[in-house]
Amino acid sequence: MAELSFLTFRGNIIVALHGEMTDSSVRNFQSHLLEEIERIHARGLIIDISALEFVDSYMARVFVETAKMAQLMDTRTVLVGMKPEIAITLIQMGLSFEGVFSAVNLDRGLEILEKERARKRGRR
Amino acid sequence: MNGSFDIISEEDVLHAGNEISRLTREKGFSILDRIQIRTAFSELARNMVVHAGGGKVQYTLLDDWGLQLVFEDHGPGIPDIGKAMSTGFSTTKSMGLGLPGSKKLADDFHVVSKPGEGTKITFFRKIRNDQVNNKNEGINNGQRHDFSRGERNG
Repeated sequence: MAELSFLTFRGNIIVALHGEMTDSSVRNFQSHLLEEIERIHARGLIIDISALEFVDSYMARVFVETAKMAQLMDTRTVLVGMKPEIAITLIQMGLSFEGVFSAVNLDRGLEILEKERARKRGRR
Repeated sequence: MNGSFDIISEEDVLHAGNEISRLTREKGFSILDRIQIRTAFSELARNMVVHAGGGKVQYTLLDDWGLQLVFEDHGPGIPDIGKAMSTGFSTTKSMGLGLPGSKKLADDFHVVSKPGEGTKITFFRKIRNDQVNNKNEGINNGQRHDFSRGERNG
């Protein structure tokens, strides 16, 4: 797969995945992403999966784990752009995405992050 | 149409998976069928790499029938197939959904495994493109809904 590039937007990291990924490229993605969160003290993280050909149980598990790891680092994660066919497949296989925000596109994903931030401020 | 792939590495899983995607696209499988076949392929081929150090996949693709994939390895075998087919069980770091998950994506699924000799998994998915859609109706054995009607072809 191609090199990962992380965009930063208003303190959020935006990363788009393309094509197909091997297990090792998925693991690489996770560790680079966590490093980047620490480096820029990211408030939010958006993982755009709209250009992925498919998502299998390994990839799905790494996405969910990454979101939980990011949460421990005080960064909220939104998974954006899941194709309907991929959503059908993952649910049929019995996968759970509990605890992970998702949005239909980048705009909505950023909205979710804004709302989460406002909610957090309200609690203080 | 038939052929086979030797699967040793993660890269082989990707390469062969891409070939399967290309074949199913050419044969007119719907986008849902293609994604589900590709996903099951990835799960089962990865299992061979992770658990058995590799293996072989044979495919048979017939018009008006579907795609059969046979994954065969000479690894340690699965000691308890029932347990391996239940969700949540895994001997390695994967989620344990590869085998039961792939079965849910199949129209027909068989596992034969002998400890110390290896494992053979047969995955079959029937074709549901527009031409053959109608005669396939009602053979869904309750495992899955038919999402193919009205679906975009792309």
